[in-house]
Amino acid sequence: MSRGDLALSIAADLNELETMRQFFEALALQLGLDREPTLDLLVALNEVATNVILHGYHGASGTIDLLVRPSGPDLLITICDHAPLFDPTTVPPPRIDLPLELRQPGGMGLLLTRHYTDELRYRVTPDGRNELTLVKRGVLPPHPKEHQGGAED
Amino acid sequence: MELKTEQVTAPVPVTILSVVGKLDASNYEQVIAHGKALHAEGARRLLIDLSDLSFMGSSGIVALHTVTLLMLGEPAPEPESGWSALRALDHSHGPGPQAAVKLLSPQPKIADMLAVTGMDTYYQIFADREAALASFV
Repeated sequence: MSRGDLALSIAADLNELETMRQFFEALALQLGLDREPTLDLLVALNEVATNVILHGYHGASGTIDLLVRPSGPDLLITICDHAPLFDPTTVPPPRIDLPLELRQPGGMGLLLTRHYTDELRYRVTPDGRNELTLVKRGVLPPHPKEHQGGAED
Repeated sequence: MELKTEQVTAPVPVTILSVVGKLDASNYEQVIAHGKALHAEGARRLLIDLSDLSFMGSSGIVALHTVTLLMLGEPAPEPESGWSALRALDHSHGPGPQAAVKLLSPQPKIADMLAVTGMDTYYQIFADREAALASFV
């Protein structure tokens, strides 16, 4: 199968989260990701998209554009949106050491995203969109063409 | 997502709430609503069966948190507005797991998420249903 970029656009609608997850899960299988990193990235993608829908667009209409880019052994997933500009990488981690009744009920999405990825990169695109890239290193098997002429592992 | 409820009476009355399918921001409020209904019907001990929950987002953690506070008799935070002020409470549940809500058989990734977020410190988590039910007093 081609190792080119793969894209999906969804409406900024919580009911579309499953569409996105199914897309990525199928894609991960085709790319040869092991189950564990697939599950990691499903969680991370879900959290990022949820935050864009709830906190970015605040329930207003919009789209979320997903771009999956193999890069050698690494997988880069870029999520773009037109919501008001916001850099989630600047959000401090939540307090998780408090008694249950004193904890904030939410705020775990970014914690989980950071935990299940190796790097988060944020930028504002030239056309003024939020762009967050999730990096997961060493999860892609060697591409068949990369094996040609090489030594056996 | 499907919610299934079962009442057991031995050794003490326990409500088993099974959460089946996938739990995310699109449906987590159903779990909270169901928890509120169970509490209104008198449920005070809850075993949440996660064995058939194949995916859970952080909204599921919000649902667990809210339902647990309900069962403990604490005011439930409003998920929409967050809970910004720390309040002085008349009592504290102290360190360690609380005794009102326990979890059964979360799948590995969900168990890991509970650990990453520190939520596992508030719950006894069982792999065996009978052992879980026997732990309620």
